Formats: sequence, C-alpha cells, structure tokens
Amino acid sequence: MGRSLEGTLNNEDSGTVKKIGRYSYATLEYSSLVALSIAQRGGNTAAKGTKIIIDPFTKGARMVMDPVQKGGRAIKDGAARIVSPLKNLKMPAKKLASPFTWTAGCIGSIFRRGLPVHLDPDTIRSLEATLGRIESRLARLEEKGIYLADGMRPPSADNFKEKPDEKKSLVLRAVLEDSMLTMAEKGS
Amino acid sequence: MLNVGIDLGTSRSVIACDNGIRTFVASYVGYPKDAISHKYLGDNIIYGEAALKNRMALNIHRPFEGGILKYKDSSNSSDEEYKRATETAREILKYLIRQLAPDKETLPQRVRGVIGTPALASSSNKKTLMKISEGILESVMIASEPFCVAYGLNIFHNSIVVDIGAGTVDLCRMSGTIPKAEDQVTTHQAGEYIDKVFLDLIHEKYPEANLTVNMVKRYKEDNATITEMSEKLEITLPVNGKPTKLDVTKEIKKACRSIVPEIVEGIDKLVAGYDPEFQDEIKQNIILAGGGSQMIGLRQEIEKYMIEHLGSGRVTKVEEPLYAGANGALMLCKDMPEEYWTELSTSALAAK
Repeated sequence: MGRSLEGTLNNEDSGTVKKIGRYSYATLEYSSLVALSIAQRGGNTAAKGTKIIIDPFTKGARMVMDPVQKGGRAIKDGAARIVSPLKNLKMPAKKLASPFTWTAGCIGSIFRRGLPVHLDPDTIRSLEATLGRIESRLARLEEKGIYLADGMRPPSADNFKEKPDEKKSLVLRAVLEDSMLTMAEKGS
Repeated sequence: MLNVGIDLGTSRSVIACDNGIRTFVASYVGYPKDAISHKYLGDNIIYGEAALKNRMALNIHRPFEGGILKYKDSSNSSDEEYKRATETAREILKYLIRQLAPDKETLPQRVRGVIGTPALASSSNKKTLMKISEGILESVMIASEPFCVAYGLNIFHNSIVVDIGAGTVDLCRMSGTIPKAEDQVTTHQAGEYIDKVFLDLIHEKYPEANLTVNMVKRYKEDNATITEMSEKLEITLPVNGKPTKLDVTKEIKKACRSIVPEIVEGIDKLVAGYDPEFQDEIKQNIILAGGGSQMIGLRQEIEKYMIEHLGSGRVTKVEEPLYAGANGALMLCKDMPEEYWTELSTSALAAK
C-alpha cells in the first residue's frame, strides 16, 4: 500500500485524483449502504444482490489503483462473509456492514494523505467515466431493484441450504410421499 | 425460484414467501352484479375486505366456507357449487401469489409452495387443493396445518398444537413422527361458531337491535376477551335506526368461552390415546395458534379448564398466531431438498 511509485502528481492531477478518491469513497459507502439495506431484508436475495453489487465495483476499482484493488478484494471477502451467516440471519447489521466500513475508511485515508501515484490524464478521464457508470448503475439498482441479466444464472438455492438432519429428513420424506400419494390417486 | 407457504383459511388466506413478503387476504371474492357495479368498481373481481365493503354491488363467494374444498366430501355438494368454490379458491391463490411480484399485477414466473390442509381433509380434499394450484405454482406439496405450525416451531415431540381457525379447530399430537389420522382431531366450534353464539346472545338481550353477523365478527376481532379483569365492552348498534351503545361485556365473554370445552375434550382424546408414560409431559405442552388464539384470556381459560377436567395443563401461545401456519409451511418448502422436488415433478408427470 505504501510503495513508492514513479513520479508524483502535479496540482491539477492531484486534485482530480483526490476527487476520484472522494468518488470511490462515496461509491463504496453508497454500495455498502445498498448492500446493507438488502442484507437487512434477508434471505437469498441479499446474497445474490451483494454479489451483483460487488461485481461492477470490483471491475471499476481494479482500474483505479492498487490500494483500491485491495479494497475491492476486501469487499468481496466481506460479501462472502455476509453470505454465509445470512443463512441463519444471526449476524447483527453492524457486523454485516463492517467490511464495507473498513474498506471505505481505508481508501478514504489513502486519498486524504495524497499517496504519490503516476496517472496520465487519459487514464484519469477513463476512471472518471467508469466511476460515473458505477454511480448511475447504483442509482438504477436503488430505483429498480436487482434483476439478473438474461442468461445469468442465480446461485442455486442448494448453495445456501443446510442439509436437514436425519429426523427432519424423515419428516420431509413423509410429506413428499403423502403429496405424491395424493397426486397419484384417481378421481376428484 | 420463490418458495412460499400458504394457509388457505375459511376467514383469511395467508402467504409467506422467502423473499420476505408476508401478507393475507380475507377469503372473499366478489364479482360485480351488473354493468353499473362493474363500472363503479372498475374490475371484474374484487378481493378480501374490499369485496366485503362493496358486497351490495357484488356476488360474494367464500370458497372455503363450510369446508367444501377442505374437509367435506365433495359429492355432497352440487357440481356448480363445487366448481364455483374451486374457481374462487384459484382466484384467491392467484391474488396471493401476485402480491409477491414487484408490480402486483403479474404472476411471478417460478414459484413452488407447501399448502396447509386441515387435519380432517380427505385425500380427495387434498387433491382438490393441489389441483387449485395448477398453473399458478410450479410444484406444490401439502401438509396438515397444525403440523406446519409445529414444524415452524421445531416441535416434534410430546406436544399438541391447537390451531384455532374460523371454520375449524385443528388439534395435532406431535409424537416424533408425521402425524397420522389418530394423531389429529378437528372440532367445528371455532371462530364462526363464536360469532353465531355472540349474535344470538345480543339478539336475546337486545331484541330491538339491528345487526348482522359481519358486524358481530368485526367487533369480536377487535374486542374478543375472556378475562374477568377487562373493562366494560360496548357495541354501537342501530336501534330503531338510531345508533345506540349497548353493553355486551358478558355476552362476548360467554361467546368466546363457548369453544373451550370442545377444545379441551379434543386435547383429552389425544392425551388419553398417548403413551401413559408421557401423558403428563404432553399436557404441559399445549400450543395455541391460528387467528382465534388471539382472544385475550383464552390461554388461561383453557389451562383452567384443563386443570379442572384433566388434572393439569400448561398452554402457550405462538408469537404470530395468524402467520404461524404459513411460516411453518414456508419452512417446510425451503427445507425440502431439491431432489425431493425433482421426485415430485417426475411423479406429477407420471400421474398425468
């Protein structure tokens, strides 16, 4: 994170990078809030939603710079940590948000410190465009909710299912057999 | 794929979905009587409370009333009556499923569910309930309503679930296995019976008062109590066209108490048929669910009656009586392994 990079930024570039930093920070904070809000609604939707939110972010973040990439990975890890406890919904909301909060804080501090980086104006413009797209995507997600694109497969419910214990399995099998027997009966 | 748990009740139909949506609708379906009512109401079908409010302009149907679909032999009802009940039940189910879609107007594409059936339901009734869901749910299983409640609470041993609905009270003994016919008892003194008793008692005390069973039902739902410590309860009813406050404290308590003896008799029957070694334990685990269990003081009244007649008894009430059945059915649906659903689909295809 603290590696020295080639050259330093001039004032104009430095201002833009700081702006990007603020953008990244805001985007992270925003995405974490969206994810948290969805996570609070619980269930598989949250797990899928978090994954979808994270994907565009990690794509964008990869282009910003190394520390942000690390942040992106941290968020991915955070998402993974969210998905597993969601099954039981036992983890408090604050804990769910903690990976996002940490990453956002980390990136914010990097940009506040003005880490020396070398970025040409074209890269900066492309970063700004990417962040703009992330912003508008997040706004759209908030407005419309989360839908899977055509051809995209949602994670199977089995991924999140705990295998029932033997006692429950027997009960479930009996319910299944009763339903199958009813279906097979003639008449009505 | 959405998983749902459904409780199609005589008075209210409830749905719980794993996308977090839970809702209910009064089990009424209304069709406009003529072109004017259609224009006034702006729709071909009106559901739930809205149908009840506009009943003067509608032909009202209650598909689950009298148990035609749920626990009575369908051969006792006319073809037309049965067909109409099936159609309106489908409309209610569609309405419930539509509530899960974001726009509330289209049906979500892939939904599977577990539907609760009364303890008394015959194979033919169960089959009817499964058929109702054809084209609405992708796959459907059925399970006894009180069993769904027990499953939702993770109670499988030495307990009795008492599900107090509008049409029936279903009692189910949990003995570590899937309940069989001998583990279940259904009584018909339920919510609607209380309404009738209450109506008769008011008529008896205030013969000049004008009231309908719907007025009595609404009042009961807001004020039902058995406890002796309650305040004075008054109902405003038209007497010779003038709204008049009438004291009905004793009447409502008497009406609410009227279902207790039959419930305790049902509990007694299930306890008596249980392993003597565990009879005391089962009497300490009576669980009340269903809309009817929301009556204030009912739990204590059943306990008192059990102590007087069965020697001991401890009754608890579930946290969300109205949703307990649908929640349990949803849990069953979600816990069901994928291979079981596949097996069901294969069996359904074979049956066709």
